[in-house]
Amino acid sequence: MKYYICFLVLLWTVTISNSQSYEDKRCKCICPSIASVTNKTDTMNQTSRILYITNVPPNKCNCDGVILPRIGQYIIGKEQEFCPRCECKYENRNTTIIKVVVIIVIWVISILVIYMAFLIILDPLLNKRIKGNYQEHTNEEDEMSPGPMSHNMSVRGNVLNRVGHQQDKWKRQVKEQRRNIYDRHTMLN
Amino acid sequence: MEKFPLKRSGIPSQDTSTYQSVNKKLQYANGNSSNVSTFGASVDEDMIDIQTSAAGGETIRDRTSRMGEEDDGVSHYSVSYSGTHESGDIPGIGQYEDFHTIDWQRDIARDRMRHRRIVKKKQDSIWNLIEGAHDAWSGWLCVLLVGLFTGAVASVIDIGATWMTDLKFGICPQAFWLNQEQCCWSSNETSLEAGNCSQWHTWAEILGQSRKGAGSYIISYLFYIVWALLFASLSASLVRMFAPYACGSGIPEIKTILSGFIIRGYLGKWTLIIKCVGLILSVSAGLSLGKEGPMVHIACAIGNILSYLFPKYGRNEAKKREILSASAAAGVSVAFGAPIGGVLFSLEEVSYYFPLKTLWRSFFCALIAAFILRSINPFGNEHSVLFYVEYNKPWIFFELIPFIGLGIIGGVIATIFIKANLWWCRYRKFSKLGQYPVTEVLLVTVMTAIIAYPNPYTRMNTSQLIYLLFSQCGISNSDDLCDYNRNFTDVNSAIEIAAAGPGVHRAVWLLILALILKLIMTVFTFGMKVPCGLFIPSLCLGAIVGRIVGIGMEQLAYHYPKIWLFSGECSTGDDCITPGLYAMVGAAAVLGGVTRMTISLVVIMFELTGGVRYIVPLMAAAMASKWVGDALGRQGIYDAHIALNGYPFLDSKDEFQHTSLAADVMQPKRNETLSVITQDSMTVDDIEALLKETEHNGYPVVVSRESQYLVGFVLRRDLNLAVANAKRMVDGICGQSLVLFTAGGAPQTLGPPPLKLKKILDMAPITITDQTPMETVVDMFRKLGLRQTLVTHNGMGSFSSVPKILNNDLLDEDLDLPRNISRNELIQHCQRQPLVHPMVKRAFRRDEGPDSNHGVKVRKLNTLTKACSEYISNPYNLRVLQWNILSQALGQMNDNFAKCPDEALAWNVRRYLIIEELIEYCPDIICIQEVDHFNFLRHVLGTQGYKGMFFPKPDSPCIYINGNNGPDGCAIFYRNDKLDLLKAETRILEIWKVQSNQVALLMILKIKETGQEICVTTTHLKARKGPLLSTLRNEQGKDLMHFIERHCDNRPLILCGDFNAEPTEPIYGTLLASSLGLGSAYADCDTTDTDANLTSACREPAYTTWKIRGEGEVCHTIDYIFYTKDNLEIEAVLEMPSEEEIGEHRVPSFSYPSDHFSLVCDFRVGRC
Repeated sequence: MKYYICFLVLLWTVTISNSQSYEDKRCKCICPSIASVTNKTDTMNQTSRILYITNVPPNKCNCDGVILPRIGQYIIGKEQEFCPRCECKYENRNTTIIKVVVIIVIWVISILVIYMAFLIILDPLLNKRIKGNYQEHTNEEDEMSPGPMSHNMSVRGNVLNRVGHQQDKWKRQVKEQRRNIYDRHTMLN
Repeated sequence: MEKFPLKRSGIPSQDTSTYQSVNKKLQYANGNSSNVSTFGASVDEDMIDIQTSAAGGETIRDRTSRMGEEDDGVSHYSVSYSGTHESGDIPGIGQYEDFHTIDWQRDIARDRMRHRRIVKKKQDSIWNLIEGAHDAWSGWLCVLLVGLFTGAVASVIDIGATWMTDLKFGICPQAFWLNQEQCCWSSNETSLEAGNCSQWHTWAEILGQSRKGAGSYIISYLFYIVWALLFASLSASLVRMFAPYACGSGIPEIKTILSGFIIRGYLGKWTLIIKCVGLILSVSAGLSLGKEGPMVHIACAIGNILSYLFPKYGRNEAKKREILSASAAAGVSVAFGAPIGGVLFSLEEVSYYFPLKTLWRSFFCALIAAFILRSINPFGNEHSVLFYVEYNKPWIFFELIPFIGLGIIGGVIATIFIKANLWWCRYRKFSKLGQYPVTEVLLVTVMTAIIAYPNPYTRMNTSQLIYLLFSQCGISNSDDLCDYNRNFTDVNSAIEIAAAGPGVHRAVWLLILALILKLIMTVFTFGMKVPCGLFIPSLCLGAIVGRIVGIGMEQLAYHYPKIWLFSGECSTGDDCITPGLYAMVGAAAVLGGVTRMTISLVVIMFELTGGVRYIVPLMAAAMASKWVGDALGRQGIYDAHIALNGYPFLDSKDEFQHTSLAADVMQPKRNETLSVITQDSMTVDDIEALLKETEHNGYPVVVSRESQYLVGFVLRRDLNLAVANAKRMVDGICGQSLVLFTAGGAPQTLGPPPLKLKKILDMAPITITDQTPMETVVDMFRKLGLRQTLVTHNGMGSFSSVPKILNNDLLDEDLDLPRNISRNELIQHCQRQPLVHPMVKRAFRRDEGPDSNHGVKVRKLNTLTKACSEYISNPYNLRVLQWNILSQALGQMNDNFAKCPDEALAWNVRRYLIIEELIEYCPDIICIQEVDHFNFLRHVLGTQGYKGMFFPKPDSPCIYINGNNGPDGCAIFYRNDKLDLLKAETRILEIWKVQSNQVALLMILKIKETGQEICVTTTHLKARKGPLLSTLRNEQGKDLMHFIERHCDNRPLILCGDFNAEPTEPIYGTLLASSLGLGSAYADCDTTDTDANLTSACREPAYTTWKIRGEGEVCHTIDYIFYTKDNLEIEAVLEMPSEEEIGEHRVPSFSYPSDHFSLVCDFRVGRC
């Protein structure tokens, strides 16, 4: 239940802030420095490159569409020489998905951390009263047998009861897993 | 057969091979055919049904031959699956316990039944038609969903991991959800330093430092370490808290699960969530691990969860594995953006059972998953992996040599890695280190972060490093690695070959450091308790090596373009060598060496590069690496980890080398008792007692205890559930209800209604004979996916499949004795025989009981040990000899006396020793067991005035032994001149009203002179140890006492025999507590301890048998002479020989013919 609410909140945030200025399409061109064609021998960084990024339709993502409008005046007459050395790539992405995913990841991690903190710190305090009656089953996989908690929890609501029962079953399973892995080292070494 | 070791709370360090036995389990069932008439009489309607419905003539032939003279005793088995139909009315049937292996045959049969039912019902109504259609396409629908979800989850992980990795370096303040590359994605600046755009702020900048400088470096360093620690600790503690099964790569476990093992919760939802989150965190922590391997686990978890939407798959473990195979393919497909590679990976590496249908589904699933990932486009590069590169250069033929060289290097690196990692994992498993999983993760993270940050190649994300190493040096690449002295001024678009600049040299050194660091860190990282994969680190290791080799080749070609090696192709000045390609080949080599993949690896790599022309180099490298790897160390990392964890995985690649037979490995071992259920004579209480007493996973169901023809096999879990369910749901079922596994009506009883369990009975268990070679058995387990197989044999307790050898007592015709030979002559005759050594010397011990007033006589006995002539046979005395003489056939062929020379066991030697021992003490009554040369004994003892009687076991193990001399049994001889035989009774002892294979022989004798009647009984109870057997012996004992009480009346009783039970066993108490008032002669005559409080059991001699078997030394007390205390008195007993007298090889030996010692006891009977 909690998760659904979180998710709705999240979707809402995403749709509100979707007007972000980050583009989803680009044309990226990498060219050598102009010096390589202007025959200026004094340039020391002949190997350095320049990045041109613009937002143009895919069919215009080439030297003519991106480079020449910008630096055409410096290399007049040398276009045929310069252009073949440029690499132009049209790329797109989806920032919305990235945003949603990252926010989901953050949410999930925080929920898990909070739940973990709850289980470590608060749960023992809350369950102290019930713990007295709790008897550990030797056969923890035994799903057929009704859980030992079912009687103790009758004070709570029916749904809560079932949730609590489920949680206890899950806790037992995790405990068993922990025993297999961390104590007995029979698995996943 | 055994309860699963994991469920035992015990010592943490366990034998690593504990799981193995679960899978290789053979059960032993007796198909007893000793009693033809019993069989004919006990055949019920059900068996006749099966027999007539059997397709081939095989069963019928068996039957007739059993009826006829051939009598080969092949076990009867049915050809019916009627026991495997869906039994929906009992919840939980058909599921398995945790850590058990599944029964592929049964599950597949169950699915076929379900399918047939749906097809049959199709015509009934529109709804059923729709149901049928849904059933038909649900497999495809399920893999479609799996593909969708896997693709989505993979892109979440990709995006999350890249974002979080860059969080270590800085943040994009305007849109915190973007990573560095995406942050600068649309920056309009024309600067070059890629990623250094103004939108991206490093942590130093945020703290107000400048972008460069020592201060900012230190701050960045610190932030790097702190973030890494935070992520790693989160990952480790989430795993520890919520889903410990989420740690590791998961591929060894997936392999095991796909081979038919159940690990509950391993593919559950918590594991899925925690694995995803933990994977993002641990990749972001900069640890030397990858997310590609765990992707397989994640995909399988998705497949498992989704399969519950479709009961056809969710409720049938074997069918579920089809979905899991497809999921594994989808996992690799999204991990590498290689759908075909994924399918082949599933086929080659993880799957066990891979029918064509699964191949197509895997194909479809991988396709969908790759399509989804591709359309979400997590990396913004139009590909589903970060390190996708495209090559277009051809390769020169000569380059195959460096490629193969790379393969060899890759194999060596891989072997080093596997050995080191395994060593470390073993150390972790068995040392204290394993108790601190989170601390270990934190330590490794801190070490990795501290060492990795200074080196830019280790600082960056491993995937990025691989991309960098794979890519060609083009115009867009500004890394040190591409610092060649080349200018891009040439108009020709081709990039020329160029000398390496200082940047390249620097890069190479850094790469070598990175290689060493990565290798070491990966050894320590793989196996930590966080989700961690192995593909990326091994690809990275290989790529570094390959790139370095590639740069070397390139420079060679640059400096010496004209040498013949390059066949002129490099002389034009073009860049003829592509270091990136070497990196790719190297990566393939190391990964191939580590995982021992070949085909799937090559396909994955060429799908990564999109170039078919590099298949040959990749193949060469993968093959070379596999060869080198196989030569240096047999196992790939996953197999090694499976072995380390001891999972029950029967590798289909392994060859089975032993020459053992099924009889050698089956459980229970030969001669141990098999727990069986009879088809219509056991009550609910019996069944529950059996379930409580034994821990077997299943029980063979037989016709009856006397004629143990196999009816079927029932699983322990099913039996438990069915009994519990019936007790709850069916009225009138109580402990006395009969449990019926037959179809017909119950045998008419007045008791409570019977419990019919035919529907849980597997009527067609796979059976083999005990002589089946293990190769065949293992093949059956592998190829048919068996969970257990029943080993059948036509006899009880014997293990040679030769049919009964009808052999009369003929071996002793060479014996030539005069009709009237005196005792001394006979003894001398015996002692003269070749190879006959002097017998073990023994002395009598007299009874010092307070009421003994025959001290004089006893003392006399004491001095007269060996000479019988002085033994005054007086009408008030009886000397009884009890001895298990050791059956010739068993002793020679079956009992496996390790230290006894074969010659000593030869009948030609033993018979003289036996005779000597028998007549040495002049007993009045001789009770002997394991007699299989009765005619010989009757003849020889007849010369000494003995008469005797013999009663063989109904199904003696002897008669299955080649060269046997007939069945063995019990015999009683009595001195004819002193005693008269009034009555003789025989009994086949019963256990729970069912005849067993043990017998008792009872004689009522009368002392001629006094007319005193005495009752002598001898028996030989079931052998072998174990709680169940001890119970069986106790039951036999009870039956024996009833038998005696019925015939003995109030006569003095002497009960002697080989009870095969130590004094501590219940039968001992049962006998002493019986209403007859029995005492044990040897215990009551014990003089060593005068403490009157000692119980009889404590006073027994230390041993009555002492032998060394192949399995070890056996020394215990199992033979007794019991007597009625109120009308018999003991006068003396014969001492057991001391240890020195016995000799270090124990008995039987040249000095003593049997493994048991004879018990001789003098009784005083009647008034003087």
